[in-house]
Amino acid sequence: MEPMTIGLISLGVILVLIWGGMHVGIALATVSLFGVWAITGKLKLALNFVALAATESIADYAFGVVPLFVLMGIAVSETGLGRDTFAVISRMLRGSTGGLGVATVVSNAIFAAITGISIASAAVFAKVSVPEMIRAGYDKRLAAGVVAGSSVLGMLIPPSLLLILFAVLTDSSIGELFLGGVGPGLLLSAGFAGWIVLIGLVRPDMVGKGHEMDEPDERVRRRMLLPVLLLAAIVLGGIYLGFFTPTEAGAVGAFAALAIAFGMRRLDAASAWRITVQTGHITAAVCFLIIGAAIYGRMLAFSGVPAAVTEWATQAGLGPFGFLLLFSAVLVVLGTILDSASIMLVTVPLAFPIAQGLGIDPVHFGLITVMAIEIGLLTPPLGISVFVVTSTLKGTGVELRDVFIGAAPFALVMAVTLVAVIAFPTIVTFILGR
Amino acid sequence: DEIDITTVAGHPPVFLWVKLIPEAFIPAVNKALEGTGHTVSWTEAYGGTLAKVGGELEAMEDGLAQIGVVSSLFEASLLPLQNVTYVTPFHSPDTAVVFDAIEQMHEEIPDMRKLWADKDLEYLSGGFGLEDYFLMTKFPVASIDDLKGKKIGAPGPAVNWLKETGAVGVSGNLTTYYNDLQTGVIDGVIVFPTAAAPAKLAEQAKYITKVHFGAQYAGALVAKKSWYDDQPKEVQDAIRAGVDAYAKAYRSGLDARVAGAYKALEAAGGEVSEMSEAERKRWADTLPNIAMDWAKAQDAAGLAGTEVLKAFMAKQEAAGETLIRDWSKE
Amino acid sequence: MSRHETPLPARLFTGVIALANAAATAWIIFLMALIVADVVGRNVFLSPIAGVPEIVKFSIIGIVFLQIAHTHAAGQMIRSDGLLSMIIRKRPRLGHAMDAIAQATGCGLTLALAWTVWPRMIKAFERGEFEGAAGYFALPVWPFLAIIIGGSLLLSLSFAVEALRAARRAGGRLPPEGER
Ligand code: NA
Ligand code: NA
Repeated sequence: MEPMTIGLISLGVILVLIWGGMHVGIALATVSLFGVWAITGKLKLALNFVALAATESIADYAFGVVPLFVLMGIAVSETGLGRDTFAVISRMLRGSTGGLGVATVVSNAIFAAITGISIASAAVFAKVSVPEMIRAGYDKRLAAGVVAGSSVLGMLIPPSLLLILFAVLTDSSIGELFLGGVGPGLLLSAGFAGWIVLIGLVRPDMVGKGHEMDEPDERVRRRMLLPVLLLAAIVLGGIYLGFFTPTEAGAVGAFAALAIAFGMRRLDAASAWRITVQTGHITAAVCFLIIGAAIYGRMLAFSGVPAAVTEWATQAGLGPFGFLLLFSAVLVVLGTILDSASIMLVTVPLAFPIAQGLGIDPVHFGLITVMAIEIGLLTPPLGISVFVVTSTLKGTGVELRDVFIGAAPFALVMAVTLVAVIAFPTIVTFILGR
Repeated sequence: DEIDITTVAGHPPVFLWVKLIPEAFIPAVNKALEGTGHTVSWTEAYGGTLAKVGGELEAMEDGLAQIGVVSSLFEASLLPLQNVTYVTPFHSPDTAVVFDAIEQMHEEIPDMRKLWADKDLEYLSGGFGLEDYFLMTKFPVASIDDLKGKKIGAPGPAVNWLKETGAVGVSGNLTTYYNDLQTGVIDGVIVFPTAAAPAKLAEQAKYITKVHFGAQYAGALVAKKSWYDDQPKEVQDAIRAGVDAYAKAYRSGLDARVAGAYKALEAAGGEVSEMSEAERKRWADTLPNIAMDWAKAQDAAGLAGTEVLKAFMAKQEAAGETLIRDWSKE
Repeated sequence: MSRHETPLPARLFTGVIALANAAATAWIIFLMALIVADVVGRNVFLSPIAGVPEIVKFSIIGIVFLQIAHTHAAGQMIRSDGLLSMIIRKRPRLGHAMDAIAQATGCGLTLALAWTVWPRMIKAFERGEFEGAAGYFALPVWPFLAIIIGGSLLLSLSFAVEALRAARRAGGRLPPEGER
């Protein structure tokens, strides 16, 4: 059988296995094993293929700090600091429509300036703001969807791991790409906020209108914001004063969150340990999934399917606008099943020369690529942000299905924003003065 | 008949040592095979689609690829002798001199080749490397005293080039330098021109001081030995011809790229200056003898460490280079 | 089931994965302390800790593989079980049979992974592979491969336990889930 045929069959098998309830990481790795075996006819080779990918895919500094970002989020949530913060915010925004949801988007945009990866944002805000939104009477799907959706800002607003990868693959400037991400990041934040407000106007019950907060007024004080403001000041200040890097910020932030909670007597050694165990479970679950996704990404690249699809898209003989639309569509489709880094590795080296030939600004092209790929974080069957939110909310009655349904409108907002960015390159390039 | 060959590299094809696989190596092999009745069906896997940087050697040992770029720089434990250039700073800045020296040492010192052969790799003299490293900083540097208390980002092995200078060596990599310079996590970097230019580092650290740490050997295009030995003579010859073409194209391509990189750095506001001979000497003499420590450690592991160090120094002198510090004579 | 009814191997297994889980938890705390110490060392004492990037890069492997079996046993490994739960409600035997297949596949794959990584670990040990740079910082690679093997084996055991349980439910020898 042709490798391409095997690659295509593997896509179908993956869907069946994942929907049939097989653990996602296992399904991806198993299909990859049989796929490479079928292509090469050698089982030993296929085993080695899987083992190499499994042992090296998460061995990366950027993944190494994932547990620390998760720890920071859980510490803020479990010690009640997040709850206090959102109680104050919701008091301040009382009467505004969808205020808590908008506050989550804005907090996410700020947090995006700290972390380079979307899964960190998803884990932190799933813990911190979803329970608060649900308490305030939000529809649970909307609450989870807001967090999954706005987590993509982590990759768009600098620093961003995907933009760095794009810069390395194409020999373009990391600094310019980072600046270019600001416009689309803000536009997308505005789009998300707009959507939440719109929902609130059409369906006030979904954003907790008429819901009684169980917090008596006199217990909500503005000074309850102080601990979280202090934490944000330490982390953001530390980064922008050059004391530590955004990746190191995970460790400093976790340490500061635990220290603040200890100082406020909100935390003892036993609960600190429990929080860390929980952190480990989320990290292990998510990273195991990422290992599976990386193995499958390599297998599919090996089969030649993504390269063939990209080549087809690049040789369709379209103008810049048509080419960008078609290429984005290919990325979105690949994003339903592949992880972000794998998509970029197989498509960008093929498409970038074409984009250059069409006179497309590399920074514009890079941002379009990242946005299109990031839509895949929200789409089934393999939506990493959705998985992270679900696994962080384990035991709260929010199921995977709910999060996928809740995230869908946000994926649509992304798609609309993407088309806008394709049509108006200046959204990206104005900040570079060109 | 048709032979399946998979080529692997962890770096993406924007890097010259990868780009030249499809642009120089493969065409030369195909050309050499014309009329022999053999053809090759190529599968190319670069930029992490099969193995990450540092995973190529394993991929080839496992039989996942037959030809590949192995970066000795990232295989410090498996190809230690090949890293001699990284422990002898202030050696020749001339890439031709350094590449020639290392290739000759592969011919003359059995341990050099044995390290490849032990990993089932056939060394075909397809070595490549990086041009003369320099210093980029946010502040002007005339003397090593200017470095006191400054944080300088450098790749792992180059952190040792800052020992005892008063500078704080911070182990880092190219993907984070721009940001780290911008926020002030580091005040400068040790880097080479063709990496500094596309990363636009001059925007953040415009003072470029040519310290001349020296040109570096970084790895080679190699074949899986047990597979190579099984190939018919015509195919082996064609692969040799391909690797030759690759190595030649690399040398000429590198010079052009370095010239272009300097232009780009200056266009981005970079101010290039030479460090004075006296200051270079002072810097070199300030360092502990990291080369000799390294050589003794290799000797202790049963490898020709001292011999390699001596040969590397001698070959540069033979090529007419003046060594500011002869690490082998202390 | 009361404690003394639990067979020894089961108690032993539970103990081992709890221990691995605790080790990984301590590791996360160590990692946090290490990075904070490096930041302080670099800024305040002008002496960073050598090898932190390498340690962080490899630690994540250790943490994930030490904790994955415990994560699976706690039912927190990521799967899309909406359809499966529905089938289990409507056709319990079919549903549990599907679950048994999923769990058994996990067992098989993790065993295959451990078996394939084993020779790589031996090789890495024998030739002294390390991450880092000579004379600056060196972190041996083999212990991490050993953790991958150990973690995969524990995970395969955990999969086997669940596969067996699901198979017994499918065969009607255990009451279906939710009727205990
Ligand atoms: Na970010
Ligand atoms: Na997806």
